[in-house]
Amino acid sequence: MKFSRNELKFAVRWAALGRNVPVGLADDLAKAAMVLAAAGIDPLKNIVSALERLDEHHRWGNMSDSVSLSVIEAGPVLSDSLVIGEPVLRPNAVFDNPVLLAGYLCHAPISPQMKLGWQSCGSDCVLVVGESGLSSILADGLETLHVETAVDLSYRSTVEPPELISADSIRQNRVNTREQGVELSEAHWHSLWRFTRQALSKSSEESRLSGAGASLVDID
Amino acid sequence: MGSAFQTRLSFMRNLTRRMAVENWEFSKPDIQLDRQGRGRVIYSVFTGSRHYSLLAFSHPLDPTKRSDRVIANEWDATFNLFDGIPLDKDIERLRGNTPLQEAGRFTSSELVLARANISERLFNHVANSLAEGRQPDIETIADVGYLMRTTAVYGGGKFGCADWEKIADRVDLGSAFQAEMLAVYLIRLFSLDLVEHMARQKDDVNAVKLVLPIRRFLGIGNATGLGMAPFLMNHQVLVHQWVSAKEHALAAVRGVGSVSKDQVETLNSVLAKCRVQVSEWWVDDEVQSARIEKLGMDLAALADHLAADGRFDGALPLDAIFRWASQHLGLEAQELVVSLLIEPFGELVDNLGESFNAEPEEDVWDPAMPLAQLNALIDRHYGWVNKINFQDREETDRQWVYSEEKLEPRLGTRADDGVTDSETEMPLTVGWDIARLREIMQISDLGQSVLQFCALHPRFRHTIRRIQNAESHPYGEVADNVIAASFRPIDILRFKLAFFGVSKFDPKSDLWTRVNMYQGAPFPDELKSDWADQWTFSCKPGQIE
Repeated sequence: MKFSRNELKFAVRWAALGRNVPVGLADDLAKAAMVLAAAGIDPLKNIVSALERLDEHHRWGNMSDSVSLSVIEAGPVLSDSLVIGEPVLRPNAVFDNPVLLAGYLCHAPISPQMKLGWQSCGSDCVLVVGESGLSSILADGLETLHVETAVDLSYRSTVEPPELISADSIRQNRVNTREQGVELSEAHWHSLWRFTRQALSKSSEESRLSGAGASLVDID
Repeated sequence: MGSAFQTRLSFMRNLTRRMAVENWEFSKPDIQLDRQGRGRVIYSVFTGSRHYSLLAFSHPLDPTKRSDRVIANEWDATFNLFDGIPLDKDIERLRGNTPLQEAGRFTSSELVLARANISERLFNHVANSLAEGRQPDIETIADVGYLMRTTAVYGGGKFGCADWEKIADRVDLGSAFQAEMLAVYLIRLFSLDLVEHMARQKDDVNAVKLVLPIRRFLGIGNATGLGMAPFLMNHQVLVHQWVSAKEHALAAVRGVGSVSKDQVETLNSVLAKCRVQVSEWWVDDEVQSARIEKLGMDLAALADHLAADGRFDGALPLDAIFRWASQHLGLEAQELVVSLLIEPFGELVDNLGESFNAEPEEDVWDPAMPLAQLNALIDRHYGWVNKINFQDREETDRQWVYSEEKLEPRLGTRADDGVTDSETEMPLTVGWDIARLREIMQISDLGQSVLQFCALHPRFRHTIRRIQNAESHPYGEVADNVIAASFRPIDILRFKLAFFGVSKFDPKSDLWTRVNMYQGAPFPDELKSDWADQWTFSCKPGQIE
């Protein structure tokens, strides 16, 4: 089903807020979702999964001594860390959702270009990022977990690897989604809205009558 | 913010100017309405590069269901601005969805979704008068100012409509809110066509059309509630662009060394219109009524001041007027003086309207910034926070939320002890967040980077991003505590509406207002008229020649 990018951004941001994710991290998650969607990857399944697993990881505090991290909490930190070359997380940190991590790294201008690898469901994947963000995602059958980066990081995950997405495909998808919106799973959209609804205020009779100022009927 | 007025850079002015310059062509509307006014009307416009169409679905409403609120479920008319000329299948698809509004589903072919209700008193008066072969009473018209009032105009990807990015690069509608403004311009035409249609249904033999001066004096109403406030708070860079453009325009005009006779005449004629319009501006709200009364007196003083011999002969004459106004006039008049001074200088300032947009990439985020530098930015841009005592319960009394009921923005009293955030609160607690960040920073190593700090304190990431943005976009922050019991959201609403270009602010409470849009604006066949670029500050017909 087609959705606008703005709908995706709103729903993801508020779903994160509904899970008590701090607003700055919720904003970054929404950006990551939009970047992935624009590249042609439906991010909803991974976002729902990451939000569901949040309680296993998150502490909204010191991440530097953690090995097992939620990508929602640590993704922005890793992205910043790679951009400015300042290691903050432990080198053997494990992220719960590397597909989603790609979304965080996509909009981070990283120079020189690097490849970040992960092993997922027995397959090895490589994410290529450069100065203009994500350039391609490859599932190229690496024999071992492959990392070409100044920061020695490894990723393990049980989530399915994305399909092979070429740089050309990503570029074309960006144009298409700008014009026509993004194709997302309706089922996963409804799953996401379970969390989004948690951020919405219950409507009491008092808030209904006085919370918006205007009366319920306007005759003039 | 609560005293802002439209300027010639406002979005509606930008649009009508572009329509004229680019020779936009408006087709004769395709009207299919029955005797009760049910049916649809399609308006099409060709901008020189693209076609756009307004699809208007008319479905007269039981008056007891007529509501300005977001939570309404039925309306007198519903609309889409369509990207192109709709095919029959598009019309049928939208006929099934547009009347449902938020409950419908739309596609990237739809740029705008909107709805409107009639002002029953005025609509019926006008329809009955025309049916009886006479023009409506001008005082009755002036009392309301519009036949229909929009209660929501959604763009930017809402409910499946096209994302703003789809049209961002277009010459015709690429500037801020131009698609929405075009939709409203066409809805005004619809409201006039509908009332004349209804008059003909009442008496096809004797019915007359509205005479042009009255027709032109009818704008299109709008009811605006709390939703505009979070929009402004959440679009820091965009708001900066708007204010920056206005400030640059003012600075350019204040720097003008000499003023021509024509420019003085334009200034004086717009001031004259302003004075008449202010004398015709009546509202129930006591606060605004007092402001309007003071404004009327201030404009009289301004007219006297401008009439003095040699007023425009000195160096930087407009700067001198601006400085005089700042010292002698109230806030409303000071803001209006900004509009007036800019008005004769279109060639100098109109291009600034092209810088109203903000690309997402313009958001600033510098994780390498040392905390000490961040501290300095707080000092530079958030001094206003130091004046607020957040231990005082009154300063954290309010809570902004989205209701589960159609996501209607609402404002309530904080239910807890005022110390902790509610999980459903909108993140608009900027001042409070800055104060809490400051507390943590006082016990932190100021030599560490923002990256290191955020790894320890991720809940401040949002606040730090705002602070960094404030350095490069200093006009983007609402420098007030929007959760204080004393805060009036109506001031923020007026600020944004002024950028749209509305007039006749009519606050109905601290939380919502009615306004008039396009009152006095040229119709499609008038866009090339001499006066077409100076249609604002409209007055009752016959008041100003």
